[in-house]
Amino acid sequence: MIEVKGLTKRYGNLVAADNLNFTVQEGEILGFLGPNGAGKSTTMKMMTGYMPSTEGTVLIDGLDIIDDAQEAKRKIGYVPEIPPLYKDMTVTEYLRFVSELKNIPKKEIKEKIQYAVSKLRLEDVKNRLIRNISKGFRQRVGLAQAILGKPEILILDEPTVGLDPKQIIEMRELIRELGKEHTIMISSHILFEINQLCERVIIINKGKIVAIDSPENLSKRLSTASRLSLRIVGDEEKVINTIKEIPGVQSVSVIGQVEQESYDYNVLSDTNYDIRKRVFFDMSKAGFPILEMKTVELTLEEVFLQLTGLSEKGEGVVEEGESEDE
Amino acid sequence: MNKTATIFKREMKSYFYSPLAYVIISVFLVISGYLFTTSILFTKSSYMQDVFTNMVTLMIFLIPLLTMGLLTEERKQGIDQLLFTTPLGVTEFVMGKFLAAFSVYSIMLVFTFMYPGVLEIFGTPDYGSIVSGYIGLLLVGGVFISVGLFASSLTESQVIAGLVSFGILLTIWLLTMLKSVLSGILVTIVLKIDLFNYFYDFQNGILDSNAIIVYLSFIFVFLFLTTRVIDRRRWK
Repeated sequence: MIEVKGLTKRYGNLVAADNLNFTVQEGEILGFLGPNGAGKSTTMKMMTGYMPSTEGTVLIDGLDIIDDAQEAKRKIGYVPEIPPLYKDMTVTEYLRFVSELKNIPKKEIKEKIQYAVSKLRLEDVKNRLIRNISKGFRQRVGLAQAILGKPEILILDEPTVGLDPKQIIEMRELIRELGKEHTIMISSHILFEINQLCERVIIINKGKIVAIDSPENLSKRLSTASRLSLRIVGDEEKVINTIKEIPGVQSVSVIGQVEQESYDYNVLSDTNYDIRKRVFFDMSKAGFPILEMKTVELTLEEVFLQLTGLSEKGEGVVEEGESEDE
Repeated sequence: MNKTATIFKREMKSYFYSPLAYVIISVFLVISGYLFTTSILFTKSSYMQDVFTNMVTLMIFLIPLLTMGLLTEERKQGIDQLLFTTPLGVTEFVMGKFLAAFSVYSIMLVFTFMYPGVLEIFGTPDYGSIVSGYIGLLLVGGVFISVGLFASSLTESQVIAGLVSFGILLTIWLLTMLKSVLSGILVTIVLKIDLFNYFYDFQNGILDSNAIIVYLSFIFVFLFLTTRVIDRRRWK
Protein backbone atom coordinates (compact mmCIF):
# COMPACT_ATOMS: atom_id res chain seq x y z
CA MET A 1 0.00 0.00 0.00
CA ILE A 2 2.68 2.48 1.03
CA GLU A 3 6.33 1.91 0.33
CA VAL A 4 8.87 4.17 1.96
CA LYS A 5 12.33 3.82 0.49
CA GLY A 6 15.44 5.47 1.82
CA LEU A 7 13.47 8.47 3.04
CA THR A 8 15.75 11.18 4.37
CA LYS A 9 15.15 14.75 5.43
CA ARG A 10 17.95 17.09 6.30
CA TYR A 11 17.69 20.63 7.57
CA GLY A 12 21.22 21.89 7.21
CA ASN A 13 23.21 19.68 9.52
CA LEU A 14 20.20 18.35 11.35
CA VAL A 15 18.92 15.00 10.11
CA ALA A 16 15.24 14.78 10.94
CA ALA A 17 14.69 11.48 9.13
CA ASP A 18 17.57 9.22 8.29
CA ASN A 19 17.22 6.65 5.51
CA LEU A 20 13.86 5.24 6.56
CA ASN A 21 12.68 2.06 4.88
CA PHE A 22 9.36 0.44 5.66
CA THR A 23 6.03 -0.49 4.17
CA VAL A 24 2.48 -0.05 5.31
CA GLN A 25 0.43 -3.07 4.37
CA GLU A 26 -3.12 -2.98 3.16
CA GLY A 27 -5.71 -3.11 5.91
CA GLU A 28 -3.36 -2.84 8.85
CA ILE A 29 -3.16 -0.30 11.61
CA LEU A 30 0.48 0.59 11.88
CA GLY A 31 1.83 2.36 14.91
CA PHE A 32 4.58 4.91 14.58
CA LEU A 33 6.20 5.41 17.89
CA GLY A 34 8.91 7.69 19.11
CA PRO A 35 9.72 10.34 21.67
CA ASN A 36 8.96 13.95 20.84
CA GLY A 37 11.33 15.21 18.21
CA ALA A 38 12.13 11.75 16.87
CA GLY A 39 11.03 12.68 13.36
CA LYS A 40 7.52 11.25 13.33
CA SER A 41 5.77 14.35 12.07
CA THR A 42 8.48 15.08 9.54
CA THR A 43 8.17 11.58 8.14
CA MET A 44 4.40 11.87 7.94
CA LYS A 45 4.63 15.24 6.24
CA MET A 46 6.83 13.68 3.59
CA MET A 47 4.54 10.69 3.22
CA THR A 48 1.54 12.93 2.60
CA GLY A 49 3.33 15.08 0.08
CA TYR A 50 3.24 18.23 2.19
CA MET A 51 7.00 18.34 2.24
CA PRO A 52 9.41 16.80 -0.23
CA SER A 53 12.18 14.55 1.02
CA THR A 54 15.87 15.36 0.72
CA GLU A 55 16.41 11.81 -0.54
CA GLY A 56 14.29 8.75 -1.02
CA THR A 57 10.77 8.14 -2.25
CA VAL A 58 7.30 7.43 -0.99
CA LEU A 59 5.10 5.27 -3.19
CA ILE A 60 1.37 5.19 -2.58
CA ASP A 61 0.00 2.15 -4.37
CA GLY A 62 2.95 2.47 -6.72
CA LEU A 63 2.39 6.19 -7.32
CA ASP A 64 5.12 8.61 -6.35
CA ILE A 65 3.83 11.20 -3.89
CA ILE A 66 5.79 13.99 -5.58
CA ASP A 67 5.72 13.01 -9.26
CA ASP A 68 2.15 11.71 -9.33
CA ALA A 69 0.99 14.06 -6.60
CA GLN A 70 -2.59 14.56 -7.79
CA GLU A 71 -3.40 10.86 -8.00
CA ALA A 72 -1.42 9.81 -4.95
CA LYS A 73 -2.81 12.53 -2.69
CA ARG A 74 -6.31 11.42 -3.48
CA LYS A 75 -5.61 8.10 -1.81
CA ILE A 76 -4.58 9.67 1.48
CA GLY A 77 -6.49 11.31 4.27
CA TYR A 78 -4.18 13.18 6.61
CA VAL A 79 -4.74 14.60 10.05
CA PRO A 80 -1.79 16.72 11.17
CA GLU A 81 -0.89 17.01 14.82
CA ILE A 82 -2.94 20.16 15.21
CA PRO A 83 -6.23 19.60 13.39
CA PRO A 84 -6.22 22.00 10.43
CA LEU A 85 -9.49 23.78 11.09
CA TYR A 86 -10.89 27.17 10.13
CA LYS A 87 -12.45 28.31 13.36
CA ASP A 88 -14.73 30.80 11.66
CA MET A 89 -16.58 28.11 9.71
CA THR A 90 -19.28 25.73 10.82
CA VAL A 91 -18.50 22.03 10.74
CA THR A 92 -20.61 21.49 7.63
CA GLU A 93 -19.19 24.52 5.82
CA TYR A 94 -15.70 23.30 6.59
CA LEU A 95 -16.36 19.79 5.35
CA ARG A 96 -17.88 21.19 2.18
CA PHE A 97 -14.79 23.33 1.65
CA VAL A 98 -12.49 20.34 2.03
CA SER A 99 -14.69 18.21 -0.25
CA GLU A 100 -14.32 20.77 -3.00
CA LEU A 101 -10.56 20.83 -2.59
CA LYS A 102 -10.51 17.07 -2.79
CA ASN A 103 -12.23 17.08 -6.18
CA ILE A 104 -15.33 15.32 -4.92
CA PRO A 105 -18.03 15.79 -7.58
CA LYS A 106 -20.67 18.39 -6.63
CA LYS A 107 -23.49 15.86 -6.65
CA GLU A 108 -21.80 13.59 -4.16
CA ILE A 109 -20.60 16.21 -1.70
CA LYS A 110 -23.73 16.23 0.43
CA GLU A 111 -23.77 12.48 0.75
CA LYS A 112 -20.05 12.30 1.53
CA ILE A 113 -20.40 14.92 4.25
CA GLN A 114 -23.37 13.07 5.66
CA TYR A 115 -21.31 9.91 5.79
CA ALA A 116 -18.38 11.56 7.55
CA VAL A 117 -20.66 13.33 10.02
CA SER A 118 -22.45 10.16 11.01
CA LYS A 119 -19.31 8.06 11.08
CA LEU A 120 -17.66 10.44 13.53
CA ARG A 121 -20.88 11.20 15.41
CA LEU A 122 -20.86 14.89 14.71
CA GLU A 123 -24.62 15.35 14.18
CA ASP A 124 -25.04 17.47 17.28
CA VAL A 125 -22.39 20.00 16.33
CA LYS A 126 -22.57 20.04 12.57
CA ASN A 127 -24.09 23.50 12.36
CA ARG A 128 -21.97 25.09 15.02
CA LEU A 129 -18.90 27.22 14.48
CA ILE A 130 -15.73 25.21 14.96
CA ARG A 131 -14.56 27.95 17.31
CA ASN A 132 -17.32 26.97 19.73
CA ILE A 133 -16.96 23.21 19.89
CA SER A 134 -14.85 21.23 22.34
CA LYS A 135 -11.40 19.96 21.64
CA GLY A 136 -12.64 16.39 21.38
CA PHE A 137 -15.11 17.38 18.71
CA ARG A 138 -12.49 19.42 16.88
CA GLN A 139 -10.24 16.42 16.74
CA ARG A 140 -13.11 14.43 15.28
CA VAL A 141 -13.82 17.11 12.71
CA GLY A 142 -10.18 16.78 11.75
CA LEU A 143 -10.71 13.06 11.25
CA ALA A 144 -13.99 13.63 9.40
CA GLN A 145 -12.13 15.84 6.96
CA ALA A 146 -9.62 13.06 6.37
CA ILE A 147 -12.19 10.39 5.55
CA LEU A 148 -14.07 12.57 3.05
CA GLY A 149 -13.96 10.86 -0.30
CA LYS A 150 -13.05 7.59 1.40
CA PRO A 151 -9.31 7.54 0.84
CA GLU A 152 -7.76 4.11 1.22
CA ILE A 153 -5.11 5.35 3.61
CA LEU A 154 -5.40 7.46 6.72
CA ILE A 155 -2.33 9.06 8.21
CA LEU A 156 -2.96 10.35 11.70
CA ASP A 157 -0.38 12.37 13.56
CA GLU A 158 -0.91 12.06 17.32
CA PRO A 159 -4.70 12.01 17.12
CA THR A 160 -5.30 11.84 20.87
CA VAL A 161 -2.96 14.56 21.98
CA GLY A 162 -4.59 17.03 24.37
CA LEU A 163 -7.83 15.10 24.83
CA ASP A 164 -9.29 14.15 28.18
CA PRO A 165 -9.39 10.46 29.14
CA LYS A 166 -12.98 9.93 28.04
CA GLN A 167 -12.33 11.57 24.69
CA ILE A 168 -9.19 9.49 24.27
CA ILE A 169 -11.17 6.29 24.69
CA GLU A 170 -13.80 7.50 22.22
CA MET A 171 -11.13 8.50 19.74
CA ARG A 172 -9.43 5.14 20.06
CA GLU A 173 -12.70 3.36 19.38
CA LEU A 174 -13.30 5.53 16.35
CA ILE A 175 -9.88 4.77 14.97
CA ARG A 176 -10.39 1.07 15.51
CA GLU A 177 -13.68 1.30 13.67
CA LEU A 178 -12.11 3.25 10.81
CA GLY A 179 -9.42 0.59 10.69
CA LYS A 180 -11.98 -1.81 9.29
CA GLU A 181 -12.28 0.24 6.14
CA HIS A 182 -8.99 2.05 5.85
CA THR A 183 -5.32 1.30 6.09
CA ILE A 184 -4.13 3.42 8.98
CA MET A 185 -0.81 4.75 10.10
CA ILE A 186 -0.93 6.42 13.47
CA SER A 187 1.86 8.17 15.31
CA SER A 188 2.06 8.55 19.03
CA HIS A 189 4.41 8.89 21.90
CA ILE A 190 1.94 7.11 24.14
CA LEU A 191 2.78 3.43 24.13
CA PHE A 192 -0.39 2.21 25.70
CA GLU A 193 -2.37 3.63 22.84
CA ILE A 194 -0.29 1.94 20.18
CA ASN A 195 -0.42 -1.29 22.13
CA GLN A 196 -4.20 -1.12 22.09
CA LEU A 197 -4.65 -0.27 18.46
CA CYS A 198 -1.87 -1.58 16.33
CA GLU A 199 -0.88 -4.89 14.89
CA ARG A 200 2.54 -3.62 13.99
CA VAL A 201 4.75 -0.96 15.46
CA ILE A 202 7.63 1.03 14.08
CA ILE A 203 9.78 2.62 16.72
CA ILE A 204 11.90 5.54 15.67
CA ASN A 205 14.37 7.64 17.54
CA LYS A 206 16.51 10.52 16.34
CA GLY A 207 15.28 9.98 12.81
CA LYS A 208 16.23 6.32 12.66
CA ILE A 209 14.12 3.19 12.82
CA VAL A 210 15.03 1.20 15.90
CA ALA A 211 12.52 -1.63 15.57
CA ILE A 212 9.64 -2.90 13.48
CA ASP A 213 7.53 -5.66 15.01
CA SER A 214 4.24 -6.52 16.67
CA PRO A 215 3.77 -5.10 20.16
CA GLU A 216 3.83 -8.61 21.68
CA ASN A 217 6.99 -9.64 19.89
CA LEU A 218 8.68 -6.46 20.87
CA SER A 219 7.98 -7.15 24.51
CA LYS A 220 9.09 -10.76 24.18
CA ARG A 221 12.14 -10.09 22.11
CA LEU A 222 13.55 -7.72 24.60
CA SER A 223 12.67 -9.39 27.82
CA THR A 224 15.64 -11.34 29.02
CA ALA A 225 14.01 -11.60 32.40
CA SER A 226 10.51 -12.30 33.59
CA ARG A 227 9.06 -10.40 36.41
CA LEU A 228 6.95 -11.45 39.33
CA SER A 229 5.04 -9.02 41.44
CA LEU A 230 4.36 -10.22 45.00
CA ARG A 231 2.60 -9.05 48.14
CA ILE A 232 3.73 -10.97 51.17
CA VAL A 233 3.02 -10.63 54.90
CA GLY A 234 6.07 -10.86 57.12
CA ASP A 235 9.48 -9.53 57.90
CA GLU A 236 10.99 -7.74 54.91
CA GLU A 237 14.53 -8.99 55.20
CA LYS A 238 13.63 -12.59 55.85
CA VAL A 239 11.31 -12.66 52.86
CA ILE A 240 13.97 -11.24 50.60
CA ASN A 241 16.58 -13.72 51.80
CA THR A 242 14.21 -16.64 51.29
CA ILE A 243 13.35 -15.62 47.76
CA LYS A 244 16.97 -15.03 46.86
CA GLU A 245 17.75 -18.65 47.58
CA ILE A 246 15.40 -19.83 44.87
CA PRO A 247 17.36 -20.86 41.73
CA GLY A 248 16.95 -18.53 38.77
CA VAL A 249 16.19 -15.43 40.78
CA GLN A 250 18.22 -12.47 39.61
CA SER A 251 17.11 -9.77 41.96
CA VAL A 252 14.51 -8.92 44.55
CA SER A 253 13.46 -5.42 45.42
CA VAL A 254 10.89 -3.94 47.75
CA ILE A 255 8.48 -1.61 46.06
CA GLY A 256 6.68 -0.40 49.13
CA GLN A 257 3.88 -1.04 51.53
CA VAL A 258 0.30 -0.99 50.34
CA GLU A 259 -1.51 -3.20 52.83
CA GLN A 260 -0.69 -3.29 56.51
CA GLU A 261 1.88 -5.81 57.68
CA SER A 262 2.74 -6.76 54.10
CA TYR A 263 5.26 -5.53 51.59
CA ASP A 264 5.19 -5.53 47.81
CA TYR A 265 8.14 -7.09 46.04
CA ASN A 266 9.44 -7.11 42.55
CA VAL A 267 11.31 -10.26 41.57
CA LEU A 268 13.29 -10.66 38.37
CA SER A 269 14.23 -14.15 37.23
CA ASP A 270 15.65 -15.92 34.19
CA THR A 271 13.07 -16.64 31.57
CA ASN A 272 13.82 -20.35 31.57
CA TYR A 273 12.86 -20.77 35.23
CA ASP A 274 9.31 -20.66 36.50
CA ILE A 275 9.84 -19.74 40.12
CA ARG A 276 6.20 -19.40 41.12
CA LYS A 277 5.76 -22.84 42.71
CA ARG A 278 8.97 -22.53 44.68
CA VAL A 279 7.96 -19.12 45.94
CA PHE A 280 4.63 -20.50 47.07
CA PHE A 281 6.07 -23.50 48.96
CA ASP A 282 9.02 -21.64 50.43
CA MET A 283 6.88 -18.81 51.72
CA SER A 284 4.39 -21.25 53.09
CA LYS A 285 7.15 -23.19 54.89
CA ALA A 286 8.57 -19.97 56.33
CA GLY A 287 5.12 -18.89 57.48
CA PHE A 288 4.80 -15.79 55.27
CA PRO A 289 1.36 -15.69 53.66
CA ILE A 290 1.31 -14.57 50.03
CA LEU A 291 -1.54 -12.14 49.43
CA GLU A 292 -0.89 -11.53 45.79
CA MET A 293 1.26 -12.98 43.07
CA LYS A 294 1.30 -12.18 39.41
CA THR A 295 3.67 -12.23 36.49
CA VAL A 296 4.23 -8.89 34.84
CA GLU A 297 5.27 -8.69 31.24
CA LEU A 298 7.64 -6.01 30.18
CA THR A 299 5.51 -3.16 29.00
CA LEU A 300 5.96 -1.53 25.67
CA GLU A 301 7.13 1.49 27.57
CA GLU A 302 10.15 -0.36 28.90
CA VAL A 303 10.85 -1.91 25.54
CA PHE A 304 10.69 1.50 24.08
CA LEU A 305 13.01 2.99 26.63
CA GLN A 306 15.43 0.16 26.14
CA LEU A 307 15.41 0.56 22.41
CA THR A 308 15.75 4.27 22.41
CA GLY A 309 18.35 4.09 25.15
CA LEU A 310 16.69 6.69 27.30
CA SER A 311 16.82 4.61 30.42
CA GLU A 312 18.73 1.80 32.04
CA LYS A 313 17.20 -1.64 31.90
CA GLY A 314 14.71 -2.36 34.64
CA GLU A 315 14.40 1.20 35.85
CA GLY A 316 11.13 2.99 36.11
CA VAL A 317 9.33 -0.27 35.74
CA VAL A 318 7.03 -0.22 38.65
CA GLU A 319 4.52 2.45 37.81
CA GLU A 320 4.01 1.08 34.37
CA GLY A 321 3.29 -2.41 35.66
CA GLU A 322 0.68 -0.99 37.93
CA SER A 323 -0.98 1.37 35.56
CA GLU A 324 -1.52 -1.50 33.18
CA ASP A 325 -3.79 -3.18 35.68
CA GLU A 326 -6.21 -0.29 35.83
CA MET B 1 -10.03 27.07 -11.61
CA ASN B 2 -12.80 25.48 -9.61
CA LYS B 3 -10.63 25.46 -6.55
CA THR B 4 -9.77 29.12 -6.98
CA ALA B 5 -13.50 29.68 -6.48
CA THR B 6 -13.48 27.46 -3.39
CA ILE B 7 -10.65 29.43 -1.82
CA PHE B 8 -12.24 32.70 -2.92
CA LYS B 9 -15.61 31.87 -1.34
CA ARG B 10 -14.03 30.86 1.93
CA GLU B 11 -11.93 33.98 2.09
CA MET B 12 -14.91 36.24 1.38
CA LYS B 13 -16.91 34.60 4.14
CA SER B 14 -14.01 35.05 6.48
CA TYR B 15 -13.76 38.75 5.62
CA PHE B 16 -17.42 39.34 6.29
CA TYR B 17 -17.87 37.00 9.26
CA SER B 18 -15.18 38.91 11.08
CA PRO B 19 -15.42 42.65 11.64
CA LEU B 20 -12.34 43.23 9.47
CA ALA B 21 -14.00 44.06 6.15
CA TYR B 22 -16.65 46.24 7.79
CA VAL B 23 -14.11 48.16 9.81
CA ILE B 24 -11.79 48.79 6.88
CA ILE B 25 -14.63 49.84 4.59
CA SER B 26 -16.05 52.14 7.27
CA VAL B 27 -12.73 53.77 8.02
CA PHE B 28 -12.12 54.27 4.33
CA LEU B 29 -15.53 55.82 3.76
CA VAL B 30 -15.29 58.16 6.72
CA ILE B 31 -11.87 59.48 5.73
CA SER B 32 -12.46 59.61 1.99
CA GLY B 33 -15.85 61.23 2.59
CA TYR B 34 -14.17 63.86 4.72
CA LEU B 35 -11.49 64.46 2.09
CA PHE B 36 -14.10 64.62 -0.67
CA THR B 37 -16.20 67.13 1.20
CA THR B 38 -13.34 69.44 2.11
CA SER B 39 -11.76 69.34 -1.35
CA ILE B 40 -15.04 70.04 -3.11
CA LEU B 41 -15.95 72.83 -0.74
CA PHE B 42 -12.49 74.29 -1.14
CA THR B 43 -12.16 74.11 -4.92
CA LYS B 44 -15.85 74.47 -5.73
CA SER B 45 -15.16 72.43 -8.86
CA SER B 46 -16.68 69.18 -10.14
CA TYR B 47 -13.34 67.51 -10.80
CA MET B 48 -12.59 64.19 -9.16
CA GLN B 49 -8.80 64.33 -9.63
CA ASP B 50 -7.92 65.32 -6.09
CA VAL B 51 -10.40 62.87 -4.68
CA PHE B 52 -8.75 60.04 -6.61
CA THR B 53 -5.28 61.09 -5.45
CA ASN B 54 -6.50 61.10 -1.88
CA MET B 55 -8.04 57.67 -2.25
CA VAL B 56 -4.84 56.17 -3.62
CA THR B 57 -2.85 57.66 -0.77
CA LEU B 58 -5.35 56.28 1.70
CA MET B 59 -4.94 52.82 0.19
CA ILE B 60 -1.25 52.78 1.12
CA PHE B 61 -2.46 52.53 4.70
CA LEU B 62 -5.60 50.47 4.30
CA ILE B 63 -4.62 47.73 1.87
CA PRO B 64 -1.85 46.33 4.08
CA LEU B 65 -4.54 45.87 6.74
CA LEU B 66 -6.72 44.07 4.27
CA THR B 67 -4.02 41.69 3.07
CA MET B 68 -1.78 41.12 6.06
CA GLY B 69 -3.64 38.10 7.40
CA LEU B 70 -4.32 36.45 4.06
CA LEU B 71 -1.50 33.92 4.17
CA THR B 72 -0.19 34.15 7.72
CA GLU B 73 -3.12 32.57 9.51
CA GLU B 74 -3.24 29.27 7.65
CA ARG B 75 0.42 28.79 8.21
CA LYS B 76 0.27 29.66 11.86
CA GLN B 77 -2.57 27.26 12.51
CA GLY B 78 -1.12 24.49 10.36
CA ILE B 79 -4.03 24.57 7.93
CA ASP B 80 -1.61 24.72 5.02
CA GLN B 81 -0.83 21.11 5.89
CA LEU B 82 -4.35 20.25 4.92
CA LEU B 83 -4.47 22.50 1.86
CA PHE B 84 -1.29 21.19 0.27
CA THR B 85 -2.00 17.55 0.94
CA THR B 86 -5.13 17.85 -1.19
CA PRO B 87 -4.88 18.24 -4.95
CA LEU B 88 -5.02 22.04 -4.57
CA GLY B 89 -2.41 23.91 -6.60
CA VAL B 90 -0.45 26.83 -5.14
CA THR B 91 -1.47 29.09 -8.04
CA GLU B 92 -5.16 28.38 -7.49
CA PHE B 93 -4.67 29.08 -3.81
CA VAL B 94 -2.93 32.42 -4.36
CA MET B 95 -5.41 33.49 -7.05
CA GLY B 96 -8.36 32.74 -4.76
CA LYS B 97 -6.83 34.88 -2.05
CA PHE B 98 -5.99 37.71 -4.40
CA LEU B 99 -9.46 37.80 -5.91
CA ALA B 100 -11.09 37.85 -2.49
CA ALA B 101 -9.08 40.85 -1.31
CA PHE B 102 -9.63 42.50 -4.68
CA SER B 103 -13.37 42.02 -4.35
CA VAL B 104 -13.49 43.60 -0.92
CA TYR B 105 -11.48 46.48 -2.35
CA SER B 106 -13.89 46.81 -5.27
CA ILE B 107 -16.86 46.84 -2.91
CA MET B 108 -15.13 49.65 -1.09
CA LEU B 109 -14.85 51.60 -4.34
CA VAL B 110 -18.48 51.00 -5.26
CA PHE B 111 -19.51 52.95 -2.17
CA THR B 112 -17.60 55.95 -3.47
CA PHE B 113 -19.84 56.16 -6.54
CA MET B 114 -21.89 58.50 -4.41
CA TYR B 115 -19.23 61.19 -4.89
CA PRO B 116 -19.82 61.54 -8.64
CA GLY B 117 -23.52 61.34 -7.72
CA VAL B 118 -23.15 64.40 -5.52
CA LEU B 119 -21.21 66.19 -8.24
CA GLU B 120 -23.96 65.39 -10.73
CA ILE B 121 -26.51 67.11 -8.52
CA PHE B 122 -24.52 70.31 -8.18
CA GLY B 123 -22.55 70.46 -11.38
CA THR B 124 -21.49 68.71 -14.58
CA PRO B 125 -18.78 66.16 -13.83
CA ASP B 126 -16.56 64.83 -16.60
CA TYR B 127 -17.56 61.20 -16.73
CA GLY B 128 -14.74 60.22 -19.04
CA SER B 129 -12.09 61.10 -16.49
CA ILE B 130 -14.16 59.61 -13.70
CA VAL B 131 -14.40 56.24 -15.44
CA SER B 132 -10.70 56.21 -16.29
CA GLY B 133 -9.96 57.30 -12.75
CA TYR B 134 -11.82 54.32 -11.37
CA ILE B 135 -10.06 51.97 -13.79
CA GLY B 136 -6.79 53.42 -12.53
CA LEU B 137 -7.88 52.91 -8.93
CA LEU B 138 -8.72 49.28 -9.61
CA LEU B 139 -5.33 48.68 -11.18
CA VAL B 140 -3.35 50.46 -8.49
CA GLY B 141 -5.35 48.62 -5.85
CA GLY B 142 -4.57 45.35 -7.59
CA VAL B 143 -0.86 46.13 -7.40
CA PHE B 144 -1.12 47.09 -3.72
CA ILE B 145 -2.98 43.87 -2.95
CA SER B 146 -0.44 41.71 -4.75
CA VAL B 147 2.31 43.46 -2.78
CA GLY B 148 0.38 42.83 0.44
CA LEU B 149 -0.16 39.20 -0.46
CA PHE B 150 3.52 38.79 -1.14
CA ALA B 151 4.41 40.31 2.23
CA SER B 152 1.91 38.00 3.87
CA SER B 153 3.59 34.96 2.36
CA LEU B 154 6.90 35.86 3.97
CA THR B 155 5.97 35.52 7.61
CA GLU B 156 3.64 33.94 10.15
CA SER B 157 3.03 37.26 11.83
CA GLN B 158 0.22 39.51 10.64
CA VAL B 159 1.87 42.56 12.11
CA ILE B 160 5.13 41.96 10.29
CA ALA B 161 3.30 41.22 7.05
CA GLY B 162 1.36 44.47 7.44
CA LEU B 163 4.50 46.47 8.15
CA VAL B 164 6.42 44.96 5.23
CA SER B 165 3.70 45.72 2.71
CA PHE B 166 3.23 49.18 4.17
CA GLY B 167 6.98 49.69 3.88
CA ILE B 168 7.11 48.61 0.25
CA LEU B 169 4.15 50.80 -0.73
CA LEU B 170 5.44 53.80 1.15
CA THR B 171 8.85 53.45 -0.49
CA ILE B 172 7.26 53.43 -3.92
CA TRP B 173 5.20 56.45 -2.97
CA LEU B 174 8.29 58.35 -1.84
CA LEU B 175 10.16 57.57 -5.06
CA THR B 176 8.77 60.81 -6.44
CA MET B 177 11.09 62.71 -4.12
CA LEU B 178 14.12 60.98 -5.60
CA LYS B 179 13.41 62.42 -9.02
CA SER B 180 14.63 65.86 -8.06
CA VAL B 181 17.90 64.57 -6.59
CA LEU B 182 18.79 62.05 -9.28
CA SER B 183 19.77 62.62 -12.86
CA GLY B 184 20.10 60.84 -16.18
CA ILE B 185 19.17 57.19 -16.46
CA LEU B 186 18.29 56.88 -12.80
CA VAL B 187 15.42 59.29 -13.21
CA THR B 188 14.10 57.19 -16.08
CA ILE B 189 14.27 54.07 -13.95
CA VAL B 190 12.52 55.73 -11.03
CA LEU B 191 9.85 57.05 -13.34
CA LYS B 192 9.36 53.58 -14.75
CA ILE B 193 8.62 52.00 -11.39
CA ASP B 194 6.81 54.95 -9.86
CA LEU B 195 3.28 53.58 -9.76
CA PHE B 196 1.82 56.90 -8.73
CA ASN B 197 3.28 58.64 -11.72
CA TYR B 198 1.25 56.39 -14.01
CA PHE B 199 -1.86 57.13 -12.04
CA TYR B 200 -1.95 60.80 -13.10
CA ASP B 201 -2.90 59.74 -16.61
CA PHE B 202 -5.89 57.76 -15.41
CA GLN B 203 -6.92 60.61 -13.17
CA ASN B 204 -6.92 63.00 -16.07
CA GLY B 205 -8.96 60.78 -18.33
CA ILE B 206 -6.16 59.13 -20.28
CA LEU B 207 -6.22 55.37 -20.68
CA ASP B 208 -2.59 54.65 -21.45
CA SER B 209 -2.01 51.08 -22.58
CA ASN B 210 1.57 51.39 -21.40
CA ALA B 211 0.44 52.19 -17.88
CA ILE B 212 -2.09 49.37 -17.90
CA ILE B 213 0.61 46.93 -18.93
CA VAL B 214 2.94 48.18 -16.20
CA TYR B 215 0.26 47.73 -13.54
CA LEU B 216 -0.69 44.28 -14.76
CA SER B 217 2.98 43.27 -14.85
CA PHE B 218 3.42 44.42 -11.27
CA ILE B 219 0.45 42.33 -10.22
CA PHE B 220 1.73 39.34 -12.12
CA VAL B 221 5.25 39.60 -10.71
CA PHE B 222 4.13 39.88 -7.09
CA LEU B 223 1.61 37.06 -7.39
CA PHE B 224 4.23 34.91 -9.03
CA LEU B 225 6.74 35.71 -6.27
CA THR B 226 4.10 34.79 -3.72
CA THR B 227 3.59 31.33 -5.24
CA ARG B 228 7.36 30.88 -5.35
CA VAL B 229 7.73 31.77 -1.68
CA ILE B 230 5.00 29.31 -0.68
CA ASP B 231 6.49 26.54 -2.80
CA ARG B 232 10.00 27.24 -1.72
CA ARG B 233 9.19 27.03 1.96
CA ARG B 234 7.96 23.48 1.60
CA TRP B 235 10.98 22.48 -0.47
CA LYS B 236 13.47 23.90 1.96
